[in-house]
Amino acid sequence: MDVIKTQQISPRPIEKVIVHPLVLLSIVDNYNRVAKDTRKRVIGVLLGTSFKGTVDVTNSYAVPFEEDEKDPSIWFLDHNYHESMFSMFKRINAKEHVVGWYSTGPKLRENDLDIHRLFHNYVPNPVLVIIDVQPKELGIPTKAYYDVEEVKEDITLVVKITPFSPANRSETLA
Amino acid sequence: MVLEATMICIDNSEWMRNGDYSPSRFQAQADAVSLICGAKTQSNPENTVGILTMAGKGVRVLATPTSDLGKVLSCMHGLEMGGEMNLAAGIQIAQLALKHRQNKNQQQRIIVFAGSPIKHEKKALEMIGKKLKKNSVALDIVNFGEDEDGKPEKLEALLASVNNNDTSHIVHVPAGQNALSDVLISTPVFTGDGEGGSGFAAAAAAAAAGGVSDFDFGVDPNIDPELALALRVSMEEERARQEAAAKRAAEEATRQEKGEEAQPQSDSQNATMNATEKASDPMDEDDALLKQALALSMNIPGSDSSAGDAQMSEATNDDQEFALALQMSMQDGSKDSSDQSDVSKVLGDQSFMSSILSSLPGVDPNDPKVKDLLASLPSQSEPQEKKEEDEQPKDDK
Repeated sequence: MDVIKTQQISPRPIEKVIVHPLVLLSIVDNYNRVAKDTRKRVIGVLLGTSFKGTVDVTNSYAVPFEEDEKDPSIWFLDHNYHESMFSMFKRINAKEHVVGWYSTGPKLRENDLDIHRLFHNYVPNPVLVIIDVQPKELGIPTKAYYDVEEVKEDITLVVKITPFSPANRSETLA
Repeated sequence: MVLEATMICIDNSEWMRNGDYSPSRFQAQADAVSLICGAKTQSNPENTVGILTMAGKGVRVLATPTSDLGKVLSCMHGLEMGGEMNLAAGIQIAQLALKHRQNKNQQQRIIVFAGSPIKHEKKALEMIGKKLKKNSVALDIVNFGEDEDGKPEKLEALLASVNNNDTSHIVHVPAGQNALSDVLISTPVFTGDGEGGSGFAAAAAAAAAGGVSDFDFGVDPNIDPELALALRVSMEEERARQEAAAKRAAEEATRQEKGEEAQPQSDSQNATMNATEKASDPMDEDDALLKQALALSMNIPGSDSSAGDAQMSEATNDDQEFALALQMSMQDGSKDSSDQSDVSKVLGDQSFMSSILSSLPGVDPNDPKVKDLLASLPSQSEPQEKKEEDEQPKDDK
């Protein structure tokens, strides 16, 4: 964890998220084995590297996650599992850090912001990637989000998750 | 020694800053939690314990069920108080955490420390209780701290909806001199596990009282409870023997008026009384020791036989009158009876002794055992010191 912090002292705003194929395959495979015909979703951690505003997601693993269907504020994510798993992953590839987390969605849910806040403990600006495990149309099955803090007119702090959009990307490139 | 996975729900709300439990409610709670963790892991090495906090920004799981005691205890450091406790969310999230335990054979248990007022309705709590019962999760509730109207009823209703075959318990701990952890030791929260739990509790109490006993009798409560009991009893007998030997000099003067008794009679009595003593409850032995020490010094009938045993062997060598006096006192029958004349003699000192006792931390003057002791109390200062000595190590635990 300390290694990450020294590298990203001033968290640079993320502009691009590249998801490698191994990640997609392992998430879909896990979903099909575990939660295929249920309404439950699978949540996991994304590992990778971040360089000059571009995040390369190279690896992932699911974590035990449970939420109450009726009450979205009741959820449990086994962070001890994540910490043990990450320390083992670090042994085989020290360059991979936690860059964010994924959800099989298919859409954003109310407790996603709380879960995102949990990942702030592990990485300064985590990325949320929603993987569409049952895509109906051709295209990129992923959507990436990050969180912004906004101060509204009535001086309240609002945190919301906003997507990376192609429009944004082309603007920065230009 | 039930195989169990336990989630402990800690209340770290603003109400925990209050100091009506020493040193503060939060600290008392933390001590109780560490004690529970120790007891659970001791009673069965495969038991797991997890912790979550209910107040603050929201329910936060500090440790998922693990058998690593060090990890659990280190989570307790640096906890901050603030916010309001969310009991319903805490219990539900604890249930989710237990669902993900690694060993599915473990029984599920949640221990809740409810110190602040409960803002949920009774109905909501009952629904949660029913869900817990459906998933066969046992619930222990420790009601302490804030005492608002309806809180005990809400908790009792919750307990009633969870309780299945008396596996769930509730403990009400009022504020006062007793430490939260001391009160909890004697409750089913600790001893509800059966032999293993009570073995730990009894051993802890014995260690506190004696200050000498080693746990290294060879992992006694887990493996061989009878051996542990026998070892503990023999250690206490040895201690009593030494105590009695030390007090003999002061007692000789008061024993002059006792009559003559035959020696062989008391030998058979010794045998029977030894047998009854061995069978007695470990928790009572501390008080029995106390009574016996006091009785020996003050010539009160019903003194314990083991000390008498020691007295006998030494007395036969040295002081014949003393031996005879001792036999007579042992023959006088049951432990709790006291001589009419002695009671009247001592009544004057009872108020003095109760004031001394109430100033001692950890001693509740309203406890029936203490009351019995008070009734049989001496007026000498030396036995008082012995008694305080015995109770200080108890408190130091």
